[in-house]
Order: sequence, then C-alpha cells, then structure tokens
Amino acid sequence: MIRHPAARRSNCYPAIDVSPPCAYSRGDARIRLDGSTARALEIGRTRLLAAGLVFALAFTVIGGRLVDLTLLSQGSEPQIAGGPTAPQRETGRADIVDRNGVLLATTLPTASLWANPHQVRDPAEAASQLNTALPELSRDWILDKLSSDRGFVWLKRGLTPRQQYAVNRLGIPGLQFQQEPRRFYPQAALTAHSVGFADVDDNGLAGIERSFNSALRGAVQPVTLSLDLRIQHVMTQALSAAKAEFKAIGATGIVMDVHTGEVIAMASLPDFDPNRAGEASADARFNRATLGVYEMGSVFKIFTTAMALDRGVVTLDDGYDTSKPIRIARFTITDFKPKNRWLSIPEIFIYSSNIGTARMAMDAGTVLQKEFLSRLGLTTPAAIEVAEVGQPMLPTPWRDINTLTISYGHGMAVSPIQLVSAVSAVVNGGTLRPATLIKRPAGVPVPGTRVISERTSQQMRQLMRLVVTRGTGKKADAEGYLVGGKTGTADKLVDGKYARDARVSSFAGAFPMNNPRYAVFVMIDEPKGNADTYNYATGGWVAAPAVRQVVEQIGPMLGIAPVRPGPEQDESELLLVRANARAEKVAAN
Amino acid sequence: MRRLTGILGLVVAAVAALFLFGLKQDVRQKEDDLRAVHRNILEQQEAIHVLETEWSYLNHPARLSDLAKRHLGMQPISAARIVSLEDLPFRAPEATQAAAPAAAKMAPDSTANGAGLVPASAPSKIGSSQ
Repeated sequence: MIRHPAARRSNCYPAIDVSPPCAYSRGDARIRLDGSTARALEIGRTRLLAAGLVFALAFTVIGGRLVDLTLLSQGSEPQIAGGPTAPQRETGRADIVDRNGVLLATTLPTASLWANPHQVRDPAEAASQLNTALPELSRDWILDKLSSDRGFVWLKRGLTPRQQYAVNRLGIPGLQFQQEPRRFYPQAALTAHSVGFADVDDNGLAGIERSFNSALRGAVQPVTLSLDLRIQHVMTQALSAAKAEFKAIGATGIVMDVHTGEVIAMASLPDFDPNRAGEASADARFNRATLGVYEMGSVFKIFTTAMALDRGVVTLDDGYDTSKPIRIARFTITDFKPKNRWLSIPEIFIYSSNIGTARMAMDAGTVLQKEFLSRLGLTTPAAIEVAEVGQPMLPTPWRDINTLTISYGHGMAVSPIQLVSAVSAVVNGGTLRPATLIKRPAGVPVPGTRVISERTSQQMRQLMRLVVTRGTGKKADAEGYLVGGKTGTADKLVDGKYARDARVSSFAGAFPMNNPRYAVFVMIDEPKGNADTYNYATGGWVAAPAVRQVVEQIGPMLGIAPVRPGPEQDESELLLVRANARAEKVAAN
Repeated sequence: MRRLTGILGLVVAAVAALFLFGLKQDVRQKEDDLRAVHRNILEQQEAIHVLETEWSYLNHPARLSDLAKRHLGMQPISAARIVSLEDLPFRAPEATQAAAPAAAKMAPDSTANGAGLVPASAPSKIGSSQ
C-alpha cells in the first residue's frame, strides 16, 4: 500500500493547524513558532501545568493515604478479612427437645422419588431393580407407573437417607429426587400428646406443635420442654401395665415438680404415633391429661380438708359423727366402707368418709368452697401450653347439695392437670404455681399465689402420708420415698346417671412427704376388678400400685435420697394415736 | 536517563499488574474454597442432624431398657440398694487395726476413703438416655 505523503504530514499535529507544514522529526527538531499561535501554546502550557499540579497534589494525597494505611496504621484495621460467616442450617421449623436435650421433634430433609417415564429406557428392568431397593412398592405398581405416558410420576415421598442411597446405587436413568422437609418424631408415641404433631405443610395440628406454631416456624433455637423422657417412659410403662391388667379403656398419669409447676411427665393412654397421626383414632389422639375432664371422687377430699383446716372451720382435734347417712333432697350420702361411729378429721380423711367430708363442707358453706376451689384454679381451664385444654364442668347454679357432693369429688369435673397443680399447691407449702410444659430456668423463683398457710400444708402432708401408711392408699407406699396422697374412685356419668360398672380410679399424691419435691397422679379409666384385687377396682387397688411402681423407679433418677423407716414418720403416727384416743373418748361419753 | 525511567516505570507497572493479577486470582480461588467449605459445613450439619435424629430414635427408653435387660441383666434400682455413708456400720477399733494391713493390701484407696461407694443420688443406668 502506497501512502500519499500529504496524508502522513497531516497526521503530525491533527489538533493544531500548524504552518509551515510539519517539520518535526525525531532528534533534531525544534519547532519555532511566533505570533498568536505561540501565545495560544503558552496558555495551553500554563493550563497543563496547573492541571498537572492539581493531579500531583491528588496523587500525593493518595500516596500519603496509602502509606498511612499500609505502613502506619497498626491495629486499627482487622488483621483477618471478614468474609461471609459460616452458614446456618435452615429447616424452616425449630426442633422440640426434652429437659435434657433429647430430640422429640425435628425436621428432616427427606428426598422424594419421582420419575420421568419418557427417560426410563427399560421400565420392566427398572421396576424389578426398584422393587429390591424399596420392597414396600410392588413391582407391578412401579411398572405401571413407569410405563405411563406422563412426564412426571411420584414413586415415593419422604425416603429415609438409607433408601435414597439404595435407589441412587441402582443408577437408573429417569429417576429424580426432590428434597422435601418432613417433620419427624424420633420418640414416636412416648410424648405424642404433649408434643403433638404437624402436617406436611408445617402447620402444627396438636399439642406444643400447635400452640407454639408461629414460634417454631423459621426459628433455629429449639423449644425445650419440661418433660424428662426417662420419667415419661416409666410413667407410660406403669400406666400401660395397669391398663392391661384391669382391662381399662384408658389411663393418664402426670408427674409435676411441686415447686415450679413444671410437668416432668404427662402420659395419656391409648396413645398414637405422631409420625402417622392421620391413622390414629380420635380416642387415641384425645389427651386425657389436659383435655379430659373427670369427676375425681375422693381425691377432692384433699381440697375440702385443706379448706376446712386452713379457714378454721375445723381443727385436727375435731370430728364428725358418721354413723348415719346424710339425706338431703332426693340424695343420700353414704360411705363406701362405713365405720358407723364418730370419726376425727384425720380418720375421716384416711378412711375416706363421704359423710364426714360432706359435713365438713356443710360447715364451711357454699361461698367459701366456691372461693377456695377457684383459688386453687379448679374452676378455670388450666394455663398449660398445649392447645388441648378442657373446660372444667361446674354446677350451675352452685346449690348447697352441690357443695356437699363436690366435697367428695362428685358434681364437678376437672382435668387431671388442674388437679395435679392444686395438689402440688397443697403440699408444697401452700403456693399455687401455673402448670407448664416449658422448662423453667434453674434457680429463678417461680411466682405463685398463696392458697393455704404453711401450717395447713404441713398438716395436709401428714394426713396424706397417713392415707398411705394406714388408710386406703397402702399400695402406693414405695419403700424409702415417703409417698403420701389420696385415693379416689368416682362412678362415671353415663347419660346423666351414675353408672355402677364404669368408674375412674385415681391416686393423687406427692413424695417424699417430709419435703415434697414431686406430685404424682395416676388415673385409670374404667378399670375392671380381677381376682387379684378381689374384684375391687377402686383407686387404692388400681391406681395406687401404679404410683408405687412409678415412684420406686423415678426416685433414683430424680436424685431423691431414700429415707429409712425412722422417727420422722412417727410424727404422723402420733396424729393418728391422738385421733384414736379422742374417738374412744367420744364413744365412752 | 529519561529512557531508563520510562523502561523502569514500564517494568514496575508490569510487575505490579502481574502481582495484582496474581492476587486477584488468589482471592478468587480463596473465595471458591470458602464457598466449598461453607457448602461442606452445611452438608456436615445436615448429616449431623440426621445422625442426631437417629441417635434420639435409637435411644428410645423402651428400646434401651429392653437392651439393658436382655444383654446386661440390668433392672431398675430399688431404694434398699441405695445407702448413704452414715448408714454403713462402724468397725470396732480393734477389728480395724487387725484388718487394716490386709485391707490395705487388697484395695488401699477404696477402703481408705470409701471412694468405691455409689452416691445416693446416682442416677439409674436404666432408662437414662443421655
């Protein structure tokens, strides 16, 4: 290519019109200019100089800053670059753990298997192989699915990691996994009623899963329950043994820390597997401990006696004549095992006299009873966290006849959890604390309301201990753990009438009675007596042995030192000796 | 001189550019590594979580007590088996002196301070799940 010389020349100073034509060449040249052109160039140079100075200044500042940052500033800058922090696993729903951190409910990432039948080359071969990895799917069913004309078929939802591995190993083309979180309950039926369950869309449908639904969603920190899995297990075992032995239709049991109101164990039988909650019957899902309300029978005498003693209606030295049944309106109040004589207050309590207790309530009056039972929280639903809380059934209007029957536990129905809270208050020194399923921080005192005096609580502890050593609850006496309590047997209301053959038998107590730590309640729903119990199905024969079993096993777990039979028990014995002496005196008069 | 400065500047610029390039590559590599580590952490967390769930499942108290009964012959501890130090009978002084050398030979530390005793509050083995 040949260039015209002029073209080259015009390239020398394209921006400035220079004349004469460009004579610049490397090495020798000096451009000589004059006149207006020279002045223009002068101005240009000055401007360049000024701009250069500005730039030099800017670079000096930057340089100085660079030196300052790299060499001079020590310590003010982090030595290690801060990057994105380590990621947190997100499951979308927080775990639920027991008080020792054992997992009760968690969300697992499960794989669901689907297939694109168009991509499966040999459906028959694939079906046989899949059948070996997932035996629960029949070969024909798989073949049918894989031969379909669609582009997407579900084969199995929610595979376990092992199943996923097995399917992956087969290496069948056209099979795909989709990650799906799934709620899983490793302890299965053991805590079913407390923990509850959630559906596939993460909606809690029962128990804590329901009441804490919004708190669980998106949270990372687990919810710690007050339950102790070991004790829950012991309780469940004892209940199912009693339920089987007495051919009962159900059973429920609660263990509560009397000083904090924490529920350590809460079981309701029959139970269900929350992993397959959909298949459970309504009866199995029914929480007898919180949702069920029952007329508790003689267990209520704890409250009547505590009320009468605390409000000065009677003292331990008083007593009532129980030889004649009370006839009021169309009712007759009799004793189950009549003593037919004057009984002191301790005797009325330990022999479970309906007549004596009713007379005590008569002296106390309807207003006082109503107020006292309200203070114990027996007239309002329990404040426990599960979604299923039963409304207590109260008589309306609350007539004097109701006062008499309620005094020994008929005509008013409460849930077991309400009852246990009230019993805890009676034995713990007289302070009622709300029942809770959530673990309370250790060492923080739990606020409560005083319901009876320290002294009345002390007297009630002695009376309840006497029931177990001398009265109807002998079978609850776990050696060394000073169990005290009260038996109860109540006929069930069937179509508005008390049924003779359907009853609830219960035992409400606490241990160790010299300084109660835990309240224990066991209730058997519709037990049938057998030869071993001489056909009795009362609380003393049915529920008390279960309580003994529970206390014997959980005592060591809870770190309670067993007490050898010794002088500390004699105090309550003394109470009985005095009572007997008075009874003899009354009989002599 | 001017030429030398120019060349030197060019060399410095080239070295700086190379160094910067190298550094950038390094950082990118490190970022990739970090992402991989994070991914790995997540995977491990998932795995730990699945294992924790399985651990909880395998620690079902009913299963544990069944295993303890079948393989270890364990049973719930009864209150009679728990004694405190004060409940142990005292030895008569002369008997202690006579027995001391023999006892010291057999088990010097356990007889000396009762270190072999089970504390009264020791939890039961059966059903303990943690």
